[in-house]
Amino acid sequence: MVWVTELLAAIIIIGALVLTGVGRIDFQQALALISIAIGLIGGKQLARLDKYLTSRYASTHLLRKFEEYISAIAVSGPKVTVYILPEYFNTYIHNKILEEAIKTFIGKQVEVVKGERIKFV
Amino acid sequence: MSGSNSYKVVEGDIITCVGCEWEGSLGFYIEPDKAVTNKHVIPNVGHKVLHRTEPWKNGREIGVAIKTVKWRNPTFFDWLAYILIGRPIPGNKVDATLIQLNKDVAVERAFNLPTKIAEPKKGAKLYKRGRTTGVTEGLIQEESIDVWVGMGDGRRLLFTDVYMFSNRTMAGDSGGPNYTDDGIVGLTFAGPERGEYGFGIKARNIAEAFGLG
Repeated sequence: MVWVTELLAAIIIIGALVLTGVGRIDFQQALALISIAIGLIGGKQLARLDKYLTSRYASTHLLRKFEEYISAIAVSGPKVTVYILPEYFNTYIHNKILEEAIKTFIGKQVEVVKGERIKFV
Repeated sequence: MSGSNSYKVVEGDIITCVGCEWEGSLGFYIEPDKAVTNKHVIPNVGHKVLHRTEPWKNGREIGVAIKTVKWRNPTFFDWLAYILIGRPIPGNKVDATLIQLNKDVAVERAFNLPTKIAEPKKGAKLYKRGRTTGVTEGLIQEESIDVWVGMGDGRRLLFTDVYMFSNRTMAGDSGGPNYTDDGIVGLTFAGPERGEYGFGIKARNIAEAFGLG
């Protein structure tokens, strides 16, 4: 199933060329079909890029998304520790952050612990 | 560098800048005549650095800030990448200022430990010296952590790739040196209100920011 999008795009392109060749569709219609095929592949590549960036910048992504609730995130090998502000510990926000962190740090062991507000000293 | 007439200072001693109403700590020296501290201790290039032997007493001028980092503000391309592909806006890695020390100033190391730049390793013993808590020993708890840090004026900055340690850390310790048995790992820069632990800027990132090899 990994190459299903590319296969589908190839079938559309070949189909468009064949249909143009036998005169069933005109050049503009063929071009439209080829554009659809290119769009399918492009969409898949963008989704892959999005997945890569989310995983590459997982920590800053979460820190910015939950700016009001998270104080720090540490990634150490397979373990991720999310430090949330004490007033949100064991609340709905806590569960929401845990859920999002598990989705963001794919394959890592996520732990949410009680953190504190950090300031310059 | 340490002639008999030289003015001796030690890494972790109290420093401030002329006209500033706060105090911090002197960091480690990179070259005999250059030392580092935090940007939020000595904020701007050209600031004259004062050394104090006791908090809030008169100080002696020991040098001038010659380089400092800029707080990372999102660029046009950061926003474009964020809007188009969702790449998060990056944070800051370094909070540091480079000080050119006066010719008559001699800096002594805070600890008798290796002086090469080393990486913080989780579980390693960390030695810290600073204005308020003095010399402390603790452990490195996280070797790479991203953290929101309050600037004291209501604004916050996101710092990435810093480390966390268990040493007690209080206001005024900022800029002080952090050593492990492997060498210099960085500068103290942040901590929680109660001061039970702290955060450091990596020496490697400081050296990179100032092009000091």
